[in-house]
Amino acid sequence: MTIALLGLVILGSLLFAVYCLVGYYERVSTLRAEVGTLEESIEQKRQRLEELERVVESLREAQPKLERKCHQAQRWIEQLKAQNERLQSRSKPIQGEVERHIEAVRTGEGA
Amino acid sequence: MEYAVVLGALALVIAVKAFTAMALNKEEITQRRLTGDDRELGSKIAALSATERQLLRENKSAEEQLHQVENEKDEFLVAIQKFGATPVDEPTEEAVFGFQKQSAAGTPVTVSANENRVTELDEESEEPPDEQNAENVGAGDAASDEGSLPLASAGVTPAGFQGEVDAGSSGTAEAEEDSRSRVLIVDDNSELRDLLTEALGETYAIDSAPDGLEALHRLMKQGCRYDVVMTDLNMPHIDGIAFLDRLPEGIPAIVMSAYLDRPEFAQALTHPRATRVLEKPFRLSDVRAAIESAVGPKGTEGKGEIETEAETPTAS
Repeated sequence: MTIALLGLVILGSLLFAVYCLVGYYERVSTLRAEVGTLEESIEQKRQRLEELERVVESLREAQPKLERKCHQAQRWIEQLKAQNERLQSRSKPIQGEVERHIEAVRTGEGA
Repeated sequence: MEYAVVLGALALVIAVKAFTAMALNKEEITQRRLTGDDRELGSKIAALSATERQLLRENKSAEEQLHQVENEKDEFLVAIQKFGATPVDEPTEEAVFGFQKQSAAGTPVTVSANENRVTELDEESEEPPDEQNAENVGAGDAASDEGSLPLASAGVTPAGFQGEVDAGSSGTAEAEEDSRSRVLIVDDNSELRDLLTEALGETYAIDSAPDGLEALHRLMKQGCRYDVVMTDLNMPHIDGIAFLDRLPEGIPAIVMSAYLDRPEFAQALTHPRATRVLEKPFRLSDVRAAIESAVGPKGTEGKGEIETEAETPTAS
């Protein structure tokens, strides 16, 4: 009887140990899969972050360049405007001459 | 003995339970840490994405502003070229913004920008020397005795284009890609432009413009890399004769017109830049022949050998 009880205790202990180990491996395998997914996600996010940092950096660099270019073009426009005004003021007598010439051709005086 | 066996079994159970609990705890800690990292990275990405969007908006707005400024600049460039003048050069960055040098003591020293360039140009433009006068107004009196148009006699000639012809004729990669002769058709009749483009497009690289102003603009943009120009006489903005007056040296011109009775036609016949005059309507074979004869030695041949083609209507 005593031997039978001892056998039951030993068997029960072994079964419980096996149950614990099986539960542990099931839980661990789930956790490791989640960890793998997380590591993959983290790697992708790091790459995305690096890419975004590069883009943001280039955009930050481009902004003042664009503003400088715009300012430079505006300064050029001022100069072109001044040149255009000078040319217009100088061309007025020339335009008059052109009109006189065209009129002379039309009326046959210039022939 | 029995107690020892029972205690041993209990110890085994406790050891297994403790081991699994500790190992699981370790794995869970790793998982929580990684989850935290993942969330942190996600929030960083969200913040950077917002910054990126904002910067993109700002850049887009700056680009639009730049585009408007460029358009305005182009308008002035075209307006100045209408006078046959060379536009002033784009100011350098140093001239606009100044630049910083490090002094010997290491403190930045700002070198002043050339803020008064326009004013200086105005001041010196009372009677500027020819070589400094970008507009070339009053520089070409030699032409005045030749009986040409007053605009040309007043020196409003495209001296600035000559340099572009030289630059264009040096040959670029683009020109090497298409070895066909480049023909610019200038006519306000879009149907005729399309017809000629379709008919000549297989043999020549055709470009077209609706008036003389646009044609000059294209010549400037393309670096004058045209082998021949075909122009109508009656067009808006700049007519054919005024266009011929402003046409860069080295580009032969074929004039097309339907109005024999107009003085412009007589002018075209005697114009030094017109290598050939075709009367509309004309045959495509005549157009081809005119282009071939003009393209050959590039504009030197045919001057003074002006011919009219009046008999055979095909294209109008």
